[in-house]
Amino acid sequence: MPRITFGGVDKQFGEGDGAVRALTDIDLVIEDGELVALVGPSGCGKTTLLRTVAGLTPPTSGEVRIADRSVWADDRADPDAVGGLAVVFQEANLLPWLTVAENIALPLRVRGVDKASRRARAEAMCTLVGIEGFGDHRPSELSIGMAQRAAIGRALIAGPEVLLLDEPFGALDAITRDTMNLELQEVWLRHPSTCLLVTHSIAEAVFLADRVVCLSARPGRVAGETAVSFDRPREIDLQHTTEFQDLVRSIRTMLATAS
Amino acid sequence: MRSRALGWGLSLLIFVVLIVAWKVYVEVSDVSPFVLPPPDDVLAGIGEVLSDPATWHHVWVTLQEILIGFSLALAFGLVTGALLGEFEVLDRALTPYLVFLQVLPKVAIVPLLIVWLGFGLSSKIVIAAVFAFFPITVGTRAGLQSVEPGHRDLARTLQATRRQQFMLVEWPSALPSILTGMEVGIVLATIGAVVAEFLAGSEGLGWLSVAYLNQLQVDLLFGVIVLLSVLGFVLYALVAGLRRLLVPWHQSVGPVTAGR
Repeated sequence: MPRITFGGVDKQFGEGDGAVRALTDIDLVIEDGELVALVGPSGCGKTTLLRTVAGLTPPTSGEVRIADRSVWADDRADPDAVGGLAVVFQEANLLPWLTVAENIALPLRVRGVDKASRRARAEAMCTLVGIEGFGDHRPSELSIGMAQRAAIGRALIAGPEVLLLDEPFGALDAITRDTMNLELQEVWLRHPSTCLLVTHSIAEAVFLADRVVCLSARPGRVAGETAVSFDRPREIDLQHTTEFQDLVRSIRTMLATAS
Repeated sequence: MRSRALGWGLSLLIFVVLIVAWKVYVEVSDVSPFVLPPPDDVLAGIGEVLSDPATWHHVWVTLQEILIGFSLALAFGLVTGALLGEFEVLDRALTPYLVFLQVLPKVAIVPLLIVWLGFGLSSKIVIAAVFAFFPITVGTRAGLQSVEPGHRDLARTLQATRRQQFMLVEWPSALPSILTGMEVGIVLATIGAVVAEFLAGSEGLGWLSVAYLNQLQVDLLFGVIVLLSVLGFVLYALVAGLRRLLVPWHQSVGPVTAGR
């Protein structure tokens, strides 16, 4: 069953001579429970495409659906359509006036969950994402990697049906990134959801996804896609196998010929 | 820790040097004590002013004017600033008036306010409020308008209601800027109250300084000036201290402990 559907999505920023076409004629279906990675050169509109599902940026034309509900009606996001999704942004976006645990529990607070159970669930989430004992700290006391773990915890705490990851590890060094990819996989296996991952790392896309979709340079078009069928859980050493590297190479070629 | 002690020490040294320079200047230049009394006379003057029970009545009058005026400015400034920050239409419609009000030398409208409100406390309170209103309004508006875009996106993806967005994200984001407005505001409220007393007072520290001036008691006038600066300093310190209490997370309070 399709969970996310893009039908002929176009996005143009500005009007007249200064207009920039970010996306053109995107058709893409993401099935329930699938993890799809979106790769492409910077500025190809992959983040914009994610924002059209997240209810943050309306498309100029075309339709975005979550399950059987249209996300946009007259440039306003339908709360019923986007109610079950969570986003992890490029930056952790933790609120500096709240503690780490309060940040993680924020989605519950918005939904009116009482303080005691918020507290308990946030503590459990801290453990799950590997920042146990940091619940009472301020976000400014966390490293970038730990802050991003907290952001992932915040995204998962309300049990989203759809998880949108917008270059979540883009600001991390390569070593931390590998660890985070492993842990993200583990967390995702434990809390399955339909997942759209935007990344500019082909290796990261292949490592995590069921399917890798390539966007061409501006204006972004779907340039092709590749299924990834390695068994889960995948180990870091998978990246050194020939099959893995062949896949990475074919995706790189696909991107190169498209732009 | 060492640089901190050094800073305090240097501060004290500058004070001593200034006082000594003052004393030397008065001795050497033969300036009239009506123009500049020597520091020891001024010290005696301060003592005399402080020991006069009538002084404390004037302190109380001025303090009332400042505090009530500042509270009014805070209430109106927060509401106006919030309306401007939250509703773009209002911001466009009202900002020209607000700027006009600000560039207008407010001292010039003091006589007008006195004509309207009389010579009593109320005119001083309103003048103090008018002086403090603008920075608080602008601080509130600027704070609400400079919420981090990422925090706004987050609130929207959490499906927060308009009210939740305000309470959970916008208000806490705006607080540091509001506090900056309040810090400027309390200083301006003090100036406003004293200026109003100069021009049309019958009591209060501003009036008292004019009274001493008319009696050519410059040493006592200095005493009042010192008292006024201490009052202003304490009020400012109280408002500035709110920062530690209300926004301990903000970079304006202490250094960031680790990481970024």
